[in-house]
Amino acid sequence: MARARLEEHFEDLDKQEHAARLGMWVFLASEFLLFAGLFALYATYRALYPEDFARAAEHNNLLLGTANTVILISSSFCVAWAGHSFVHGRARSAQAMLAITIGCGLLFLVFKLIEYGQHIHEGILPGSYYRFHEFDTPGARLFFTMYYLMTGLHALHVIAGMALLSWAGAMLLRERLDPEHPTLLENAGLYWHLVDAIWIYLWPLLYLLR
Amino acid sequence: MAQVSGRNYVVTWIGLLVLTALSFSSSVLGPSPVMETVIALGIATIKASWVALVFMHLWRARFADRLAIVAAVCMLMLLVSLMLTDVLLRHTMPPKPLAAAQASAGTLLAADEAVAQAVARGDEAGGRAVVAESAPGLPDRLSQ
Repeated sequence: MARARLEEHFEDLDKQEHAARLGMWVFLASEFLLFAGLFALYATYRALYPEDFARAAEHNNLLLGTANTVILISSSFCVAWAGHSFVHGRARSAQAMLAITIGCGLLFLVFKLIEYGQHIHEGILPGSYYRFHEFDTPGARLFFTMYYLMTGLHALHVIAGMALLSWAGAMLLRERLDPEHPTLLENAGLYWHLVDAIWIYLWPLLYLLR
Repeated sequence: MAQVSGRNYVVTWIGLLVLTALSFSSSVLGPSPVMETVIALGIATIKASWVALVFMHLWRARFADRLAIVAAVCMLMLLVSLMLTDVLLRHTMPPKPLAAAQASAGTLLAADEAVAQAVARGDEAGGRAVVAESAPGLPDRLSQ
């Protein structure tokens, strides 16, 4: 196993890792605020069009949405377990769990694309491209525009998370990570947990409150 | 780095799945809309907190790490509370954007078609009338 390299401007590895951890948390807070704007917008429009929003949510695929929730929660467990394994010297197990996590992310995206396909087939598109004649009110249009914005931005974050996890996986395979200071793996895991936490909120708002 | 025991991860995972099932079944049972919102968001908050505390190691993290996310959450609560109090206590007429459109022109698509037909007939004044009636406050599309 590699030893983490102490950068010149840090006194010791612990302080270096503290700085990396805090930097990651501040970044996560900024990502949270990015979604906070959309959540606030959703809350406001929902307060203005409660019946339309509830009725529109029935056109979302509850089965796929719930499956995606279970997938992301399990993938969060997998990446947490990967970090746990690696710190306890089980690098092979860590690699396997990381691969499963990335696979779960891919499955999530596949289900999401299927859902988008179903919506587009019905004519449900964001903004002024909306063509769903059976249910066409301003409230419905707003719901689905918010749906596309929020899940679309979330899907981009899933892709970014998978890229980070792949990077950590590559470093893991090349034995470039230090079990006592697995900063890259830990931080990639933190990003993935945030993606999961955001979906934990998106799921009831867009699928359950019908 | 503070360690979380492997068992804690498994317990958290199972707990999250149980809460998901609870949330799902409570939505299927269909309580009143207010109760449903409270239950759904309440369970979601418990799940997200559990992910943060155990999976993201916030339970044993330093104060600085916790402060970052707590500050962001406070910002969200401030944002949502101020936006909602603004919007829900308005006395503008109409209180919602495009409320008149729902009442008069039926669907927005119908209004669009009515405008298109008016333009095809060369009836600009008629088209403007449909726009003004169906969507007060929208920019005049005929003049674009």
